[in-house]
Amino acid sequence: MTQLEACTRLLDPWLAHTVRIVDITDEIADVATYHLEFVDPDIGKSFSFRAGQFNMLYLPGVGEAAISISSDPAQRGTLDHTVRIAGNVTGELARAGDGATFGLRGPFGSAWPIEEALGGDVVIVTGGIGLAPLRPAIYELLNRKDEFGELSLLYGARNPFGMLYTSEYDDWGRRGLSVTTTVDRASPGWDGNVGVVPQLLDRMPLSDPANTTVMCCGPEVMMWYTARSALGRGIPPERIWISLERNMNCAIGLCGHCQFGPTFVCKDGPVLRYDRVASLLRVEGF
Amino acid sequence: MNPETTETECVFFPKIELQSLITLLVGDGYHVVGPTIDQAAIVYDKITSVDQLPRGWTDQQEAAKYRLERRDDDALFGFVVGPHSWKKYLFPPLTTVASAQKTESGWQMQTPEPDTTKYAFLGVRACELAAIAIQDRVFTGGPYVDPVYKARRSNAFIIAVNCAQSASTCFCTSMNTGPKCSSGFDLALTELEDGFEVESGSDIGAAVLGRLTTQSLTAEHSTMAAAARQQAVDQQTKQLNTEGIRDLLLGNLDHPRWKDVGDICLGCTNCTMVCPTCFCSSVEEVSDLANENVERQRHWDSCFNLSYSSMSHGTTRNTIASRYRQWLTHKLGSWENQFGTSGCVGCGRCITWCPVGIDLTEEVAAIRGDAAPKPPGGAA
Amino acid sequence: MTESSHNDRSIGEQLATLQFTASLPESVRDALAEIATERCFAAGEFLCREGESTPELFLIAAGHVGLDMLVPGRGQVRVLTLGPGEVLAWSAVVGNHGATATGVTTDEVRAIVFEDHVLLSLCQTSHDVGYVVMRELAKAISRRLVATRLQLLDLFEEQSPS
Repeated sequence: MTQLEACTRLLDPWLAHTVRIVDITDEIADVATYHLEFVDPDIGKSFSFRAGQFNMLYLPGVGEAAISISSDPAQRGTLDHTVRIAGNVTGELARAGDGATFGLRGPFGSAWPIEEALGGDVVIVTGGIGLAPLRPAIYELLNRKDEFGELSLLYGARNPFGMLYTSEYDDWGRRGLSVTTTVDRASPGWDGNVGVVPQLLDRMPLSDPANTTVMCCGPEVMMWYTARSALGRGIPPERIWISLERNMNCAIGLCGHCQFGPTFVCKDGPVLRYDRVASLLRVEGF
Repeated sequence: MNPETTETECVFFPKIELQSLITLLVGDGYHVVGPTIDQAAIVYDKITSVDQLPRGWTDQQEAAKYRLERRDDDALFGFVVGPHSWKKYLFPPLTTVASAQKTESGWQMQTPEPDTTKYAFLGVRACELAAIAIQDRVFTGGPYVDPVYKARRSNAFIIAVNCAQSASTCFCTSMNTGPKCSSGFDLALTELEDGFEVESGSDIGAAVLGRLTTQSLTAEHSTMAAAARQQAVDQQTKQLNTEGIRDLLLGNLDHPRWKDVGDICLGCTNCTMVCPTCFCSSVEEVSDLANENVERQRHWDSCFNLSYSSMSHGTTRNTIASRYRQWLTHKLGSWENQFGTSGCVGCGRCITWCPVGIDLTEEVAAIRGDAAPKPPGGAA
Repeated sequence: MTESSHNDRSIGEQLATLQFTASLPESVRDALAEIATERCFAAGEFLCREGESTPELFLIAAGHVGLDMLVPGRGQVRVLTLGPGEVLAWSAVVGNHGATATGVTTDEVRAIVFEDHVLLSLCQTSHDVGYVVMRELAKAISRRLVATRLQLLDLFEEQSPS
């Protein structure tokens, strides 16, 4: 193989890299975080990603699933993916143990607007497993705390048992992230907030809405009403960002599945500026 | 290959010389693909002889109708376009994009060696040149390049043939893609009674032409060739008003017409399979019984399939109406945002091969509110 | 329950920043400030009880109030938590057939309190005030209704990984 051929082969977007499960953290029911390392250490060294991007996890014979990266972009070593059992691929992944190998293609897609948010306040609004694609952004914002104003996380879950990464909240709080949680349904013993997450945004103090960036990930309806709340609070539409989910098959904008109007969610998204997609979000079946 | 054509001088070669061209290309290692009759349709398949071309046949097309008929002459290219398009060679219906082997140290991932197959396409129409140019943008114009398409495309030798007739389903003049072949070919032919007017569109085309026995073009040949091409223009009756079409369609996502067309559309995917620009695909796993050797096979998919927009927790486009709307708004609308061009070349295949005769030009007219639109499939 | 004497901002100043009253004309806020009292509550105090009459409308200025409904076999079920800028015990204004939930403070709460007959009397006397107050109340109820619908949708039930 010539050097050029070798180079071209490496650029083949269909080529998966083999990764190994180093550790598995059980998070909540049916959700676990897989800590992965590349079998080829050179790929591990050169692999970098931006907060909000995703990988295609490939289980040979089963298929691929698009999973957001949930670890710190500045961290070298393992690459974390928080996965809910939802289909064939994630079901097979749940049966894999430490040391198992499979494939990974990525990173793909757009990132949270960290640079755009510089100098202003950031409100992260998310629900359920939507916190996973935002955790890298939280790490990055906290690593660069001095470059931003106030940092807040508003996090909703179906019930108190549906919250991810609860053991990290205290640390995030100490490092400068104001964490507020709420649940749709209280269970006995829950003395925290009850209600949907856009309500938290309705009433949180905002010192400078015009310079506040919202990063939102959750079910589309929740993101739509979060954006409404944000607009109602005077946050400019171009500072509201959401992460969309569509059927991702190729992840490289060639298979067509993830189209949302003119947007290929896999390569133009998943993180998109709200005002650029708002008009299509409430069109049934689009 | 196939860069923008500059004005080149046309020459003439007699009909017999077409076999020389095929033989020469085969000798150069090309798989020559051209029109041939199979199962009562003119399709594209590998050929080695002019005798395999549909000599003396033509196609009668209208919505939901395709019939071959005898011509009263021996024209080799006296038809329009059939159900096939060249995408079946550049973007194969089934291809392996990657593979995985289980070893003692875990899964090993591979992608195939670059495809070195050289195709020579004989009989590419102007609308099809436009379709290839569109798929070039789709598969090679973005941040990710499809290796299968790129390899086959960069090796392809394209012999275009100008249409001398139009079907009732043709509307290339509305889409500014034809009927005259103006760029994107290595050679372009216009069929005359006793031979071909030939124009080269690339250095490699000129080099091949230089190895054939050609004659200088007489004024009479030139006049006849121009008349043949004009005949295709004159015969064209179908029109699509493309003015502001993207905003028209994307601004009418709740138009009742979508339900009307959804009620008769079968969701059969024919329109997307025959469309020369539709590019959707899915990758599936094909493994041996022990699941130790796995191939990732990509096959054509369609936005008309229910599973196309399915996610683990639901399907985005649950109704045929929503899927038809996706197809048409993409093809004629959002395609422009994505690739800087319409996704439609006006070949009319989706009209001919729709089993219920849905005509996209009628659908657009209905949404535009043009006087007395026909019901969906009304042309069938 | 103690009358607050610790707050250094006047009721009028607070009304100018709280969501429920911030967009009202200053004259209306002044009129409301005239009839309001400010009270502080420790965690665990009841502002209203399900089924009982509610003689006062509360506008939360600081802290949180849980709204609970009694479900036999499950006890008090919390259906909503209210925070700064939000109102509760609106039965006092829209019809006093008794509160439809129990409001209990979950932390220290400072509230701007309106006696129902005084507030209604003000609204009746000055329809200019009454119109904007009722409109604000309608907006608050509308927000609460949308939030309740979102809860009903149970959006996180079948959520998949993203």
